[in-house]
Amino acid sequence: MKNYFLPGICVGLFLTVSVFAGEDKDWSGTPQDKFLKSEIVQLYQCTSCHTIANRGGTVGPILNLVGNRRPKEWLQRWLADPQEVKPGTKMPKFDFTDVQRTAAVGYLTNMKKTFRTKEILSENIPVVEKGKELFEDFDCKACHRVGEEGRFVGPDLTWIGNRKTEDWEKTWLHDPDAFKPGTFMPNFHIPDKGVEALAAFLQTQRGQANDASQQWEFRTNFFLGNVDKERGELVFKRFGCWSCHGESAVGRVRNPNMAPDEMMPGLKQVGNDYTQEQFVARLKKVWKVKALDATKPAPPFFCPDYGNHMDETELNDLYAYLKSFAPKKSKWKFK
Amino acid sequence: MSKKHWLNIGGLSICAVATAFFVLDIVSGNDVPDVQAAIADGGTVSGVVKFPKEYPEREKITITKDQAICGAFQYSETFVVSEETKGLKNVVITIKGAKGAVKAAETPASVSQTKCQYVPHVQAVPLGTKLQILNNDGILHNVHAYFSGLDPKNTVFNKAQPKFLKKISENLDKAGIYYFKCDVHDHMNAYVAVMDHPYYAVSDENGAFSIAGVPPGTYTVEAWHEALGQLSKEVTVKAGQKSEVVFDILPNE
Repeated sequence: MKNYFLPGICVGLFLTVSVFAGEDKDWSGTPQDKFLKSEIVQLYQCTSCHTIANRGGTVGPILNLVGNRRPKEWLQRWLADPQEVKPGTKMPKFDFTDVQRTAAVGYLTNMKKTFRTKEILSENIPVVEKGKELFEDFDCKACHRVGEEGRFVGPDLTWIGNRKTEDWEKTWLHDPDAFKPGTFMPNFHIPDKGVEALAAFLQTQRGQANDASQQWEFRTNFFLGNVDKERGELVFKRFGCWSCHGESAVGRVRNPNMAPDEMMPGLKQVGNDYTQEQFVARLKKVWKVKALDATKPAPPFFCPDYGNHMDETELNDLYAYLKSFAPKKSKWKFK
Repeated sequence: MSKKHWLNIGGLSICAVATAFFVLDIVSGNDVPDVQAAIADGGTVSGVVKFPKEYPEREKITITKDQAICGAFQYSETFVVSEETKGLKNVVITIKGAKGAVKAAETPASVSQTKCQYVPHVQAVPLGTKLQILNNDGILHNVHAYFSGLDPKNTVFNKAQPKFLKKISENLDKAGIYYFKCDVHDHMNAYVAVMDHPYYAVSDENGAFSIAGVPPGTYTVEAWHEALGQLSKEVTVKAGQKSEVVFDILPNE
């Protein structure tokens, strides 16, 4: 058995340092700070799930620049009934009065900044670096994970370069709603040069953000104990499996021109269809996606050989997570 | 030192209040009234759901949020097994095909959120019964209800229950199993089985169940458990007699 005590202490120190690093920014007097101290946030405890200024939970998106990505009308609709806007969302319906809702929308629309797009694009640095700066500037981590940072609202982007083409990224970033009508991803109206820089940066994201935070394995163990299934769920999210196979592995994500029905498969039967060894072996090969119509562009999504990028613990945990959906093969059964 | 002392008193008071609420819940008739249309010449189906000698331990869940209320850890309620009888709690038993009109309970059924746990974890109610959802914790919970399976598309409603909102009421208008989950506190979940007939029960601490007033005949008895799934058995009910059904759980080899 591994000794997690020392790594645990290291993680503890690391976290303490990160927390203090996060508190470097002085939020006092900002619109974010005013919202944080407002009666609405105090009463409804928005910080149970959302980070506002430098405080709050990690279930929902970071709200600090929400005014940049959501117009007033959208926020009104969202706060009136989140399920209407995004069916199945974790954001519950709050019974705000009209006055409270209008006040909340007022606070939220004020939480914004002026993007540095022009300035960044005119800098004399490589295009990937520009993309990286834009990524920070647009606060993409408010919803997306990269390595240890960000939130699990949109797909995890730690491995995005492995599973999407640069052309796909450009099409998507140019106008997400045109590609996937009704998507939750806002349109940032990024100029063409900015889209190119972001797509170039995203292409470089192939897991190195994980490597940079070497404590990953220890940290998951440290916080969750040895609960394979729960660690596996994190692996499922971190490697971005869910962006194609759906939240909770339910599938039903569209992959245009993929045979037989343009839909990504769910993974709920993996535990029934594969043994652990078969699963690990299969994941070490690239999955080829068959086209429905050979004369049309190839399906944009494919599954890379993640098995070669995950360590043994991660692979086993992932299998434990997927197997948890297959109760037929659980440890116990009805006679 | 004195600060710590006051904290202790504060903590104790919170516990006392929470306990008081919990006791109140029970006294105020949280239990669903017995609405089973007892038939004079009916029979009784009773039995047990049980493990062999070996049985799973309750999984320990580490809590990372609102620990002052929720505690540092909780035990999973998936497998609650009696050490003595090896019986499994929280299995929903239904008799399929027995004729009997469903009657909504006059007093609402209820599920409470107490110390970041849904109480009860599993219950069965007749179709048309109102469900009260109570927040005894004084912190924000959300009640995300799914019908037949945890899948975003199966969302029936998702309502916030902020610290000041002690009670909300909902109608569960379809027969089947509703799943409740708190997105704020990921470990919290509960099941409510809504029945369109009067012949059902939920297994108790000893894994035992009993359904009375069943019209004579041959039926399928179905057991449903959140992790084990479903199992059916046949039973013949005779007037005024007791029929035994045993659901055995075995290692899955």
